[in-house]
Amino acid sequence: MREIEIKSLCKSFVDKDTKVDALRDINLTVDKGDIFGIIGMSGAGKSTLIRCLNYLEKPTSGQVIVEGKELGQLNEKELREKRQDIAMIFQHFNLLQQKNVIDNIIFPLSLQGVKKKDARAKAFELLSKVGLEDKANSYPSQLSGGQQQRVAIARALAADPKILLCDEATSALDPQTTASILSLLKEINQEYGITIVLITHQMSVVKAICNKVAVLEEGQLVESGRLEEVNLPEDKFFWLNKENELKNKEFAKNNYSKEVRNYVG
Amino acid sequence: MWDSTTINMILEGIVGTVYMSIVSTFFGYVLGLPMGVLLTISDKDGLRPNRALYKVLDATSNVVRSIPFVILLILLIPFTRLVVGKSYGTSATIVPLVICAAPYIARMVESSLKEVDDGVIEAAKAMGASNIQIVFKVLLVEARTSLITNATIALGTVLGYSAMAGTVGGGGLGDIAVRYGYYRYQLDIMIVTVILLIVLFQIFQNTGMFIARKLNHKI
Repeated sequence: MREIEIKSLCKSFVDKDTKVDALRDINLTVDKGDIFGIIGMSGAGKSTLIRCLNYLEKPTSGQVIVEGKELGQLNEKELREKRQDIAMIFQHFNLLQQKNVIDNIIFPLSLQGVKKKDARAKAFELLSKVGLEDKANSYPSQLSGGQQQRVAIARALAADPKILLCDEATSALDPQTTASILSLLKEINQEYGITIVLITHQMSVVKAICNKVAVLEEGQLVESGRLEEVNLPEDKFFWLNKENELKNKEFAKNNYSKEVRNYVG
Repeated sequence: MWDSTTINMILEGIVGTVYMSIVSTFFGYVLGLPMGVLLTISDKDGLRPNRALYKVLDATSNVVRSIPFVILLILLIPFTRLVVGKSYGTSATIVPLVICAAPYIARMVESSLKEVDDGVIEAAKAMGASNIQIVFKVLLVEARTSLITNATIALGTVLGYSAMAGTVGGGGLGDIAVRYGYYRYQLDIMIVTVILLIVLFQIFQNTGMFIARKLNHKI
């Protein structure tokens, strides 16, 4: 069953006179229960793409269809309601610093006007799910990165979402913590049937949990399909090298033009 | 010279100063807090950018802030009479103090709210929060330490300004310092009132900072 469909999606940013095409003609289908990885180096448009899935970024053209509803057709209120089905976790966790762990998890429920008592019960249940029962009254600043991401996951699950978007969710974590967060995500996917879309620049993340993968390069999808079908570069430093290569080219170009200018000047 | 009349007068002065500072700061926030919130959300990176509204609020706040307080005090006399019924005494001083403090408070509120991490706001949006919910449940909550620190600064500044109103019969300790210390050359009374002002300032400052620290969980 189709959960998310992206049809000829384009997004460009206009800044004064310069126009940057961040995403060009993206077509993608995510099925229910997928763990869909979108991989690309920084600047490829991953963050923009994942933000189009809950309309934090409005596409310039094209459609995003979530469970049969085209997001572009919804008014503001309907969109807010739809967003409750599409949870999101972030690279820097984005927890409320002035609220303790349990109140952070309650937060999405309080936005929906759920009774405090019911919300608390639910929050404690989720807290034990992510293995942090003893941290209910701690504040985010007292937790490690991995623990904060667990709280963020519990918070994301509070509103019973159908989809979970992960924006570089493990990029700020060490390899061991990354592995434990990934296995938690997999568990959530299997236990609750939540569809997961994640973006990452780490090949290891995709290989560890994704069943499908798409490769994004300079705003375009160059490949997508089941993990075993897609040709992923073996070299785990591939993206890093590619990024450096690009930077070097850019650097050389700038220096060259400077030299030319100096010479001419 | 330090008979009961003088002591009573100074005690009344303390009450007057405390009353003026606290009531003026309170009403300053009644005007300044919504104004600061509107400045934040109508700015170009705000929750709901509105260039016209931002310009109006921005200009209002700048104009009022550029008028020296003593001049504002005099300019506002007709308005003060209309509101309080007279133009001298502690209650009358509150009117110009509020008008003077509100735009400063609005600016401080704006800068506190803009310190809130964009990521947290984005997370709230992703959860389906409305702009009103983001203001009341995210911005004002996350910025509260900074808001309280700034409220402490506002209270201290208003305290100082209330003493300035003494030159035109504003009541409170500043009034006493001007009338006895300046016009009648009673140096001892002036020194006592100044020391009392310093003590009051310290009490306000330390209490405010204590509350701000208590409520901060961000380290």
